[in-house]
Amino acid sequence: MKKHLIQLSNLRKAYQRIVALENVDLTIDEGITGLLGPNGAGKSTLIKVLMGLVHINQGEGEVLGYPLGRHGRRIRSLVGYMPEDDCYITGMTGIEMVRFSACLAGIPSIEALRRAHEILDFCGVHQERYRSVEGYSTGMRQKTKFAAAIVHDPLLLILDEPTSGLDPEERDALLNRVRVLCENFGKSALISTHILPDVQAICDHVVILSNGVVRVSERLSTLNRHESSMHILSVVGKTGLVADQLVQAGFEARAEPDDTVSIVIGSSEAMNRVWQVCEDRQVVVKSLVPVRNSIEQIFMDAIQGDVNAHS
Amino acid sequence: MPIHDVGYRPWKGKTTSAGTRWWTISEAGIAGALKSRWVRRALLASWIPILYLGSGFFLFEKSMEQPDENLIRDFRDIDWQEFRNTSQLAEEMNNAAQTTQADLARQVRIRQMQQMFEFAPHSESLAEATESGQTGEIRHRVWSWMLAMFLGYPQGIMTLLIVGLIVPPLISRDVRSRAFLLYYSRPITRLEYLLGKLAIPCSILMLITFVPAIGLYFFGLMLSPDLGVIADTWDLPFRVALATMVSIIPVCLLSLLFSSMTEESRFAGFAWFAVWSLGAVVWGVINLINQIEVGNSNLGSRQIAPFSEQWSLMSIYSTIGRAQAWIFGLEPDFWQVLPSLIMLSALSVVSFFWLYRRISAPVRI
Repeated sequence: MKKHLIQLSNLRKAYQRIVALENVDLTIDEGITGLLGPNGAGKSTLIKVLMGLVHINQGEGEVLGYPLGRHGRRIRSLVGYMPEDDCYITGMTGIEMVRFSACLAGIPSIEALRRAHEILDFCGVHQERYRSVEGYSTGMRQKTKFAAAIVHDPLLLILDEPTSGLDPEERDALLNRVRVLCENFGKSALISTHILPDVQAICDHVVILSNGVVRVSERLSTLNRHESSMHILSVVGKTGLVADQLVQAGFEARAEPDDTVSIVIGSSEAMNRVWQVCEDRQVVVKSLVPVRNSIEQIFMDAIQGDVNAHS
Repeated sequence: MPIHDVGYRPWKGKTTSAGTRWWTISEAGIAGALKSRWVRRALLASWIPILYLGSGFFLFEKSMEQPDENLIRDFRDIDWQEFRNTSQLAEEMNNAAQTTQADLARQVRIRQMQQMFEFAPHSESLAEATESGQTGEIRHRVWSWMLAMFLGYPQGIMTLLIVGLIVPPLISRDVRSRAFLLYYSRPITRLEYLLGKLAIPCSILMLITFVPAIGLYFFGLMLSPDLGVIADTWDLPFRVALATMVSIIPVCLLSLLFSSMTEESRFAGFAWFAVWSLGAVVWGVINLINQIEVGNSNLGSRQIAPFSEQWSLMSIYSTIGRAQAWIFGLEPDFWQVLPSLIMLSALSVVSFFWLYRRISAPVRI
């Protein structure tokens, strides 16, 4: 039987009168999962719950097979957490900070030094590692925090806004490192981010939280299939004319500014009729593809649903 | 250019014991504190009083063996034998003289001790001790007195200074740089974080209090004439340990509490020195008024003994001193010292729980 990486059931967490998480039922399997949500959605609280840093008011759950609440230390030894905040340990150099993190995770001192050097090389921090972290740029600090998160070889990475403050090149490099760790070394990752293209680029699974409630928890490939019946027709020639011909044939169609035609095709028979119209009018079709839901659309739909529910 | 580029490699080694992780925080903190030149200088300076106390032990042990050679030599030069040969009366006189010689020797010893420590607190207690006549008892009292003075005066002041130098940044910097999540996301608990931070000043203060005091004790043992001294003074290392704890624990917890309450180390340092100096000033003023009220005319006298004043609770320094005096047996009345012990315990407990609450705040919200 397949073991889930994270399994939460009917979980509730409130800070006095403010409910941060409500009835959270969530199952996350191995791979890379994107955790999305607007500010105040409960993402940070969910991460703290997963790491055993805060007690839950109700419900139960498991992380890496260990029940929440009783095995916080064990869970944290298997998890590598990269905080969102610009946090560092004052007075330490980059290598000292990563080594210190390794020692806190239980790696013996000299082993920790060797490991810290290896990981900083893996993360692209070179001679700068001997400089004080207080003098680092935001990007360097992000890389050092990432190195500190993975130095003890955790099974699960929890990365909170890992690419914020990175230039496009560094952003790609960091996402690539996460991908390498997950694909080649059997790690899994939970990435909390506001940068939706990052999710689109790297994640297998998406969880969208809003107002402490899980709105979406689905594989990204499945979400992308949840398209409407909208298709995009690309043709040789004037799109306006083709759109008119399709409308005359009874379709809901419109010429788009990018020289394509958007058309609603609700069934297989309708698809055949479209091809028939094109054949009859001698329209050369370059492509006819369904409109896939973008992650932005999925996110907005989830949040909009929440807004509608509250209005 | 990469330094040790081997790509990512899984790690399958044996981890250290979970119970010792807090020491990682302490080690890093101690190393960080010792980077400061001022801390290193203060630590070095705090060992200087050991030379003074060491010479005290030396002089005491010497006086126990050879009270005052000139006086005793003069005393012996009298030809008691001549008298002894003449009459029975002479023999009686000789016996009396032998007794007088012993008495004289003891009186000389007392005077020497009183002169050595004339201006120190509890000198009257010391004088009483030396008058008891039993060598073992005298030694125990005098050693206790010297160790209490060592922990109370030079080291008490140095403790105040060194804590003011090293503790303020310990937690306030973590608050400012939001380092709590870096700690708490590792397999350590908040209590271990606190323990790790607490061990930093405790270890450094042990270096300037417990370690030299025990060193002095063994120095005294080496100067002693026989191993019987161990039987007389076996309890002193335990008293030193207890007195050190009474001083270090409330002091470190209070200073860490100040450190946790601000992002600015200098505010924590200011609060630390303010509490101590204001307490001392208030206590001093109240003590002065009290002295005037009871019509004591020797206000400027050195005979004012801080440990015995009823208002000492106003000053943490005096409160600790009083508790230490009781531990070393210089303050025999337990009920007199009880308020000080309660005060120190309450200070420690309140500081601990408040501190724990402060360091838990980042994961509570």
